[in-house]
Amino acid sequence: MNDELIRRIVRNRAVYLMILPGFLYFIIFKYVPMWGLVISFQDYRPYEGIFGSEWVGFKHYERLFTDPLFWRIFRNTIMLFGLNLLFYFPLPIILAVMLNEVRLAAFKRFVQTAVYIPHFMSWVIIVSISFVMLTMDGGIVNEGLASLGLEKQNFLLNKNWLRPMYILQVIWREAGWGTIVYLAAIAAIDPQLYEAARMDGAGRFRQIWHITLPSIRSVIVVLLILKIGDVLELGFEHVYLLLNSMNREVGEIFDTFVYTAGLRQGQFSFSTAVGFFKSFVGLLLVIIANWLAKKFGEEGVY
Amino acid sequence: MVQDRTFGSRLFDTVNYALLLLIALMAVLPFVHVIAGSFTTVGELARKRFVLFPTEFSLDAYRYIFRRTSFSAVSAFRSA
Repeated sequence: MNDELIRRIVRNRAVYLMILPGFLYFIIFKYVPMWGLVISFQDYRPYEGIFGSEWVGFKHYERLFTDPLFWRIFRNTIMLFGLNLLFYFPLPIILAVMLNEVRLAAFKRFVQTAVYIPHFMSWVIIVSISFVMLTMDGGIVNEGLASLGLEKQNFLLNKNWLRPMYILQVIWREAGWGTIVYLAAIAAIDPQLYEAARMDGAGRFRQIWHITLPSIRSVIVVLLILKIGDVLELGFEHVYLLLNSMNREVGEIFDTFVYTAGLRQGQFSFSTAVGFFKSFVGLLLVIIANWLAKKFGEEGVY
Repeated sequence: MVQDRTFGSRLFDTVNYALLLLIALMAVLPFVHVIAGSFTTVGELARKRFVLFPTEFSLDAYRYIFRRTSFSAVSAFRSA
């Protein structure tokens, strides 16, 4: 049996060679560093190193579950994730369906170009421009509110505005780019289905509801699973840029906490435990979401 | 794909085009504002709230950032 296997590998060696760089990347940068998790079971001190630091077992994990700070971070992360799923996720789908209904190719291209642009701007740019527009001090949003007779709002410091700001920025940046996959899926739909529906008297909305959406159901489910697995990767860069001492209470998520407590305050072991917990939860979510998808009759991601 | 010319279908199209245009503009206007604002004078920015096309063209802003020493990437362009 081994001979047969070796022969097959040799015969397909081109394919294996092509996979090799990606495979090595994952081994070296994702699997090998995992053993660093061991410092979450110690009281790690950089100058003592991993082998010199004291072993404390689950002490940091116990702190995880009893420290109220941890639960606040957990709640913040879940809230941002929920917002992301609820408000952001449907938008590229809706936008793709709308774009698909456009007859005028030039208009369609214009809109696509316009909505793709924000994706190419880094978070620093997106957040900076948002700040320029939202500042109390001459920003156009507040000026607009004032001219309508409404009170100016302190968007940047008021913690109640953090979540809306976050999700609007995500939508602004990613909704356009996200349409690409859905547009590709929609383009693959057999036009005869639409004709048949029209014969039966279906209007535009019905055609969309009964043909377009069901046809891309598999794509939606797969992307949803991927997104859920990605959930806890909320975008450190984005949130970190938004945080300040006034809105940290609602803004601090796992990644920013690991950065602040771990690298800035030097709580290496605790922040490693936090990070590990976050990854573990992410893994669980992917497994559950994948299982659910299969239950619904769709193909999972694995 | 042949589309019917019923009123419902045309209304759908009109609304669709209008909404898409609105979305496209909203995605792009902040960038236009920032870029246009960079080419105008401080005075104009203070007077008009939202500059989309500068009436007073000026390179003051660029002169300013190329002069400041704290922008290390930009100061590479300085000759002095």
